[in-house]
Amino acid sequence: MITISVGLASCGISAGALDVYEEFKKQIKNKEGFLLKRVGCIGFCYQEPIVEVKKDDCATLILSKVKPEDVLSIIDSIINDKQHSKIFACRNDGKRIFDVKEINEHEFYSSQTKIVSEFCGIIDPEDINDYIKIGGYSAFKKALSMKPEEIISEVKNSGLRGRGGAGFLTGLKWEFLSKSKDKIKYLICNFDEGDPGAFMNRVLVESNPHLLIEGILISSYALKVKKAFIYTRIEYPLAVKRLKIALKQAKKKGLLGKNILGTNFSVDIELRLGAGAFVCGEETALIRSIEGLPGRPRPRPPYPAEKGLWKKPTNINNVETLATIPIIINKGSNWYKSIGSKNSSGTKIFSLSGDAERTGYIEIPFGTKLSTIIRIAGIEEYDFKALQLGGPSGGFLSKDNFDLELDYDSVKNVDAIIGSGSMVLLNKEKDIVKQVYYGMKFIVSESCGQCVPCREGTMRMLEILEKIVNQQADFNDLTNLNILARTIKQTSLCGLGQTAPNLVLSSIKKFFSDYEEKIKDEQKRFYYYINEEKCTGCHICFEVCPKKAISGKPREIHNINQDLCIRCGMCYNSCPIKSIEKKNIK
Amino acid sequence: MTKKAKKIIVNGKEYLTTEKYLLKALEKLGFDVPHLCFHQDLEPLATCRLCVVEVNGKIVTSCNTIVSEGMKVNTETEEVIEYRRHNLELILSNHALDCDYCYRNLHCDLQKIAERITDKTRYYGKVRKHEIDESSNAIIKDFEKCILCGRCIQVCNKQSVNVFDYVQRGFGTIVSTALDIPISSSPCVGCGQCVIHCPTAALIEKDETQKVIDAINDPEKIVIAQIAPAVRVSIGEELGLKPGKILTKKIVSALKEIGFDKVFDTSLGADFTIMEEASELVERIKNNKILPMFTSCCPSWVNFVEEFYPDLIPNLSTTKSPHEILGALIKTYYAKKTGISAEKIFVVSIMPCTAKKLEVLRPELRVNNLLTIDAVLTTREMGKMLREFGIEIKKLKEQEFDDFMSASSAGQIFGTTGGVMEAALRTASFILTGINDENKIEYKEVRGIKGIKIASYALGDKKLRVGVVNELGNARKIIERIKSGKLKIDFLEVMSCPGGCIGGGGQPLTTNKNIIKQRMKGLYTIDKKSKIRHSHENPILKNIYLEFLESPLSEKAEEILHTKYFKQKQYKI
Amino acid sequence: MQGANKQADEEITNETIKIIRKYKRFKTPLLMILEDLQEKFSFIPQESMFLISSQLNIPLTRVYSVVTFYNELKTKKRGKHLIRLCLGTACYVKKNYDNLDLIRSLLNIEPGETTSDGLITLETVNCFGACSLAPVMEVDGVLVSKINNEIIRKVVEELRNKG
Repeated sequence: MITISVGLASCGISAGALDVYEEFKKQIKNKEGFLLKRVGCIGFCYQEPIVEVKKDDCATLILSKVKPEDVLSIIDSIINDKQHSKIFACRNDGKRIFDVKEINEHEFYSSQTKIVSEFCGIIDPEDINDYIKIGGYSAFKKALSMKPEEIISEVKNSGLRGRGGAGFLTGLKWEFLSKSKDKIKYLICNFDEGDPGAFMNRVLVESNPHLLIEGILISSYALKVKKAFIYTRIEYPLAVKRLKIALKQAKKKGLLGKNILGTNFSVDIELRLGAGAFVCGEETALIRSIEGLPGRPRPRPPYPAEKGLWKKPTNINNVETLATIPIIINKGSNWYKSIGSKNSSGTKIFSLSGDAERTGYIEIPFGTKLSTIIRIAGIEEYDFKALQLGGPSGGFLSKDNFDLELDYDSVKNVDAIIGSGSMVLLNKEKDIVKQVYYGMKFIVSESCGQCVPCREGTMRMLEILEKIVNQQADFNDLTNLNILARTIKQTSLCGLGQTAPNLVLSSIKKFFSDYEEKIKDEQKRFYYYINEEKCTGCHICFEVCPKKAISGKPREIHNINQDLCIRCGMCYNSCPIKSIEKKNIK
Repeated sequence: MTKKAKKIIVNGKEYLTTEKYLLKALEKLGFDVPHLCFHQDLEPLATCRLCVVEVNGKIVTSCNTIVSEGMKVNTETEEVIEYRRHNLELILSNHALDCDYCYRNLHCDLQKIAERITDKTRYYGKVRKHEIDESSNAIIKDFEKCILCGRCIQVCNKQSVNVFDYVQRGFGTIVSTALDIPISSSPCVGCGQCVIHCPTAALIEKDETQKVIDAINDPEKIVIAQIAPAVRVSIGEELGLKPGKILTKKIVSALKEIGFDKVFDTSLGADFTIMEEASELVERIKNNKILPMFTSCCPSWVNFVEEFYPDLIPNLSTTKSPHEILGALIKTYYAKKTGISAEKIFVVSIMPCTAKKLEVLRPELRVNNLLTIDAVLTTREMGKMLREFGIEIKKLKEQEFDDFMSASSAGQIFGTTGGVMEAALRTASFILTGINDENKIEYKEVRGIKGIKIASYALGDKKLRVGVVNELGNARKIIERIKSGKLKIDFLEVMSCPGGCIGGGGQPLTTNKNIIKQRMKGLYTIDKKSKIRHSHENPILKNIYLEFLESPLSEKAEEILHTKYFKQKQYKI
Repeated sequence: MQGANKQADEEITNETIKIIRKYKRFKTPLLMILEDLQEKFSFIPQESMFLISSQLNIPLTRVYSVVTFYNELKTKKRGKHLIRLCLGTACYVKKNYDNLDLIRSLLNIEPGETTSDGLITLETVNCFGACSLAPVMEVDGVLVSKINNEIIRKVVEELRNKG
């Protein structure tokens, strides 16, 4: 038996995989012994369209960049056991008849640990039986035999942190909801992956939607929820289609609905679509969207776990978080904890894009070094300038961070966030300021407009960045940008505003030279010093200095190290009580 | 139920407070935290982000932070001061800064804060450009002065009229009507609550002061002013005096100083309203006509019924509102009696109300094809005029109202919620029993600022069930209860504004429920001290019926003192 | 001409009522109704907003506020064909803004507008999620990846020939 699997997720389809699929269909119509299969995405997006061929007991062959014109020659080579030119790897599941790399030895795969995305690109996302064949829904069956408190305890013990961006401990979040005595509670799966550069949730749902559904079922059981929602982006039509099919199939098999599998447990999953608003990824905005309102976030408290959807206690989890639950239940929390780093257990799916040879998605354990990721992406260290981590709300990792073992806490220490997991690689020709400017453009177009700092402030930041990009700005503008960023970060109403200045703050600290070279240097440089009698130790100058040239703890008198000081004047312009003085350099 | 006091530490010192929200607690304790979008009568909006303070090391907005035991608050750290300054600068960077010419110069919340913190901004860039909406005769919207606080949206939602909402998003967010239509095409009923809650000049009333000054300067015109009851206890605030100070006789002097030829009391019109309306009520009850009867002296309430419940138009009393009655009498009875040609008379109503600016244009209110009222000035416009004319209220002598001197105090309590009901009950009681019971003058159950009050009274052999409502959201609730049969009453008084006309859309700015209560106290003080407390005992009124109208509900009365209502479209597009 | 308008109005009314009924069993289904209308008519007709307001007892102002808040809901009818360009981070890095400039000059319209012959509407989207195949654009619902000047010119020509 020869099985031909064509990768038909959105990335594959946009590269022409559908035509390849149709051509195969046409060609094998009258041939015996051939089975054509539709699968999802294995992550090698830069090699799409991808076709996998499994003949009898031979190792699966993986072909890349397949065009419809190749189909006949591929079929011929299969029949005659010839090595086709488009084969670039094989799997470790049978007799090796060609000298090709095994996929786990491929640079793109060797450092990956595919737990959540294990069966993406292997099974048919539109056939529930394919999922059941590989053990699907066994975790759910196991969960139904456990007590809800046990499941929550397992999730807590696993150390799983929310994969949507905040990185909050999922088990703790669940525990908070379970304490509510309200009979009506809701679970919402946040599939509003609006981060530009992020597509891992899309891939997961397009390739293995049943894993997500199983995760939602187990979670609903544990949290005693009778109604769950999946809030999905309307810009993902294929994912929506596959979800609808999967839900129908699950219902038919009695895995969804009333008295599931003969137990007392009943849950209904409802699909709700977004309508093009990045801010709806924020929990309270998402809730408002389902309630038929504009997606304007509400101030917290009250938190959704107290008063959420339709004023009822609500728990919101990300797609990847929920898709991890069945795996934790099946393999145990201790096993899960053993993967990853001390404060961030397990793996994370990251999407790679930008100036890299190898773009696609990867699943790696927390604690993986930045240098590894650069190697996976296929960008040379000398060519690498920065990795934008976490989208427009994230930060930059630079050459200085090569040895950084990435996890939720370590990236925070270097002014970045894991966020959704989007990684955009930038080579040494890229201008960081332009990148930041673009990111701010996105934020401005997605701000909900409710509160002053985000609505007015992000536009002003954008205008200053434009000035800098056009080399019309001076250090005053840069200082204003810096202080404005801090104001917006601290006083915005919701997470979107609070993270809006992240790129600005991160880039001023790490890539100050990119800014400096654009500043009009007409003004004279002065020599600055802090007047010890006036300084109150408010610490603002410390935070604003791009070269870390100021020393001092909060409420202590601060001091400027003249050897490190580049005389930009940002501290002088930021001091709220004007305790910094300047002298002409003679 | 007394709330348990919580201990908080503010700037190092310990304090106790029973307030729910931190900003209110800090204000009560004497700490002045700047704020723009917060209003004590509304739910916290938390959009301006000026009220930030440091709580337990975190930066939060104090307006919606709930007080918890032992919280450590810092109101004046350098950080917090900087953030307030920057947020204010951001607001100023997108605001039409023409304070010198602005309607709210020296009376603007934004200006007050800018004086305190900073009136300069270092941020320049795109600004909002929008055409002014001057379509409505009552309310003008200038979006270039809007700070998008959201108060008007919340207030209009509370009124259940829902004219405004945020439209679009991000930097381009505007506060607008459905489909961006002009206000005059929207369901706006003119109550002006949006104006009175607006912290800037984004929403103001249409200014008619120039029209009035032109009339005064016109030698051909006889300009007659009439003052609403609510105005006499509120105008003091425009001149720096306490709310509730009774300045009736001084205003008469002031208006004469400005150049008005005559000054009359709207409360006299109110007395007529009571005569007609109480008679109408008794007639409906006796002849089993449509009940409950609704009062009709509040023009935005009338608009509300015409738009949202046109099938209940027959329930509205056909009696005109007090100032319209007085205007009609001036241009018929008074003109005839004094021999002045009605065309030469220019009547100016000084009202706490913006909706009256719309009401006076109703064609069915014309008498002999003349407008009965030629201009409406709000309390604020009056205040502006007094200041512009340099009137020093303290130096003025007191004067009585001209020719039409007195009104009963029943007519004067019209200005507060429950006032119309109480005045009507006093007269209805007389009609049904034939006596003025000295022990039954004050109907305390219908008094007070509570939104919905239901009571029942035995008047003679009749049991009268009454309802008193203020704020349109409450009116809608009551109507739904009446429609569904859950509530059976005979007579309903509705005022659109909180507390009645004293909380009207034309009142002095920074009106809040505390100030409304003080104004209310002023009116009931007038009532307590008055010699004539029943509308039907007013001698001037008795005389006019004798000489001109014959009796309540007579043919003449129907012609001059009663009106019709018409179904109105909510959206006129 | 008036007859055609009346027919169109009737169709809008009938469809809207049908869609409202379809979602009757859902709680707060406003967005679901609007999305179906958007798909059917390529914009949200005024008449539909009035109907929704009265049938669902939601103030018209709020319906309008929702329609204008979300990018995917339009108040103006789209042209016969739709080109949507991705402005996500990866597409930006792969110079999709330059591609946008090209399309703008080829069609002579700005994003959000339709060509004067009503043929092509140009819009931008904040990320399709096909980042690894940047730069990306969507033509009549079909994603086209790794676009360049040549592909763009071909697409515009094909659409113009299709008519």
